[in-house]
Amino acid sequence: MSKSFNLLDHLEFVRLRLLRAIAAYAASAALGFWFAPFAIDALMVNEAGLSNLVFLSPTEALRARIKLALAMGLLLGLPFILYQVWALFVPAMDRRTRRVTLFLIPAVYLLFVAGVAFCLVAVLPLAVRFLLGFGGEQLHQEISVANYLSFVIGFTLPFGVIFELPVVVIAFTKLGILRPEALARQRKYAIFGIFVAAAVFTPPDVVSQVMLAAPIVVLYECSIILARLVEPKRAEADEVELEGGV
Amino acid sequence: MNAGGEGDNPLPGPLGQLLKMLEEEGEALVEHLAELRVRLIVFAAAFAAGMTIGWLYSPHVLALFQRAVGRLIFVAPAEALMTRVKIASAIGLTLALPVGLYQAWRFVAPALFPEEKRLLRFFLWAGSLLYAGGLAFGYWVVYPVSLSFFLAFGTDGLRPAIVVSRHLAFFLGTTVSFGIAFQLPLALLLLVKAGILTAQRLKEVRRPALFACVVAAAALTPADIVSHVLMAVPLVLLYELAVWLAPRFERKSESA
Repeated sequence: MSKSFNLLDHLEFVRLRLLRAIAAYAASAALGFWFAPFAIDALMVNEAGLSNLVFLSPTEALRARIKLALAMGLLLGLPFILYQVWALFVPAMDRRTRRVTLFLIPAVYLLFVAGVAFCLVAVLPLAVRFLLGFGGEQLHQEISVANYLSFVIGFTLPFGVIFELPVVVIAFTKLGILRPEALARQRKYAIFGIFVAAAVFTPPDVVSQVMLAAPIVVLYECSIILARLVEPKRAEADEVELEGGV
Repeated sequence: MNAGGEGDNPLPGPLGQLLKMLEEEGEALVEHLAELRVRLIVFAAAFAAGMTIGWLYSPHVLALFQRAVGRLIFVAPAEALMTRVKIASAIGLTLALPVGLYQAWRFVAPALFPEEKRLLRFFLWAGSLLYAGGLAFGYWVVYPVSLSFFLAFGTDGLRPAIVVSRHLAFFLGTTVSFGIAFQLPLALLLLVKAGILTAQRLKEVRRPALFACVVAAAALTPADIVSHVLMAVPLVLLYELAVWLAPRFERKSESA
């Protein structure tokens, strides 16, 4: 009896967290909708020869604006959503884990924003200039707004995700799956793999490949350093746990 | 040891036969595989060379398109690049196709009886000629006729600004699909040769077959009436060609 009561209670709690996360996302998406026209102006890369966009069907301008609003909603609302996810797991964590994971939220968010910002400022202009360069006398450029925003979002999001690499590495180190020595030993292969992946994920020119690969390599090195900082603590914690267990 | 193992545990059916053959003729098989590898590499090299030529030639194709439609645009950031890559691949494949067919012929020919060789040679040449004929018909007749038909629906206030990837799809739909559709008589003659169809049967089912030709023409062409009619007419003629040639391809040994 008491067990079923607990379960219902817990579901109620999950529902609350879910509703708050959705509300946070909706609010930031609404903000994004209002802000979208300015964002579209800012996203057009003038120096790459992109000074105007068109819409090719009656509903396209609105659809594109909603799409951008949803993407910006994710960008703005991510810390609130992450907080709700964290709060969902609070009852299952001890005090130290709570503190550590709470500090992870700003780290995750800042890395995501850093990745997105890096892409928008440094890589996107290069890619757009490269791709638009294939137009010319015979082939006029009339980029439609929905196509352009899909391209920008699809190009930017991977950067935000890839920039989470240090967090993933630290988490795996804490869990004991990864060791910093292993990361350092595999450096050669990792850098090679990063450059290959960068070649696949960017337009086929060397510049944008390096622009994607270089920061990931830096992130990889940062991850190794951070993992070294984290690892001794893990060993101590194990010892403490062992002593406590005995 | 291998033979003993095989004897202990024989797999039933064709798989077992294949394994037995593998053991008996392992070296010959390895030789064949090595030859196949070389022939595939030759084909891949021809394709790469053809694609390079196609890439260098692709601006001329775009210029051709642009002259045909007036104003050609690209509407997505990567579209201009992707269209050029597609044009280059199409040209590369076309240029490499004879090389590929020749390599396939050289690989298969030693295993064939003279009679089969003669037949295969006929099918390769006829297929290539029909394919070229279909392409030529599509390029010089269907493409310009249907394009000017559609562009004529524009007015002073309604001007064409054709999206290049769609125009490429239209172009391939009015050329390559004709090359493929023109293979119809060969497919029919192959069925006659295999004994699945007879010349008599081809004549009997003429009416439903002609109807099927018209339906297939609708499915193979871009959704428009002009290229539909322009494909249905040659398909019907090619069916008649197959009916006319079919008696020569009938199996003599079985009827005797």
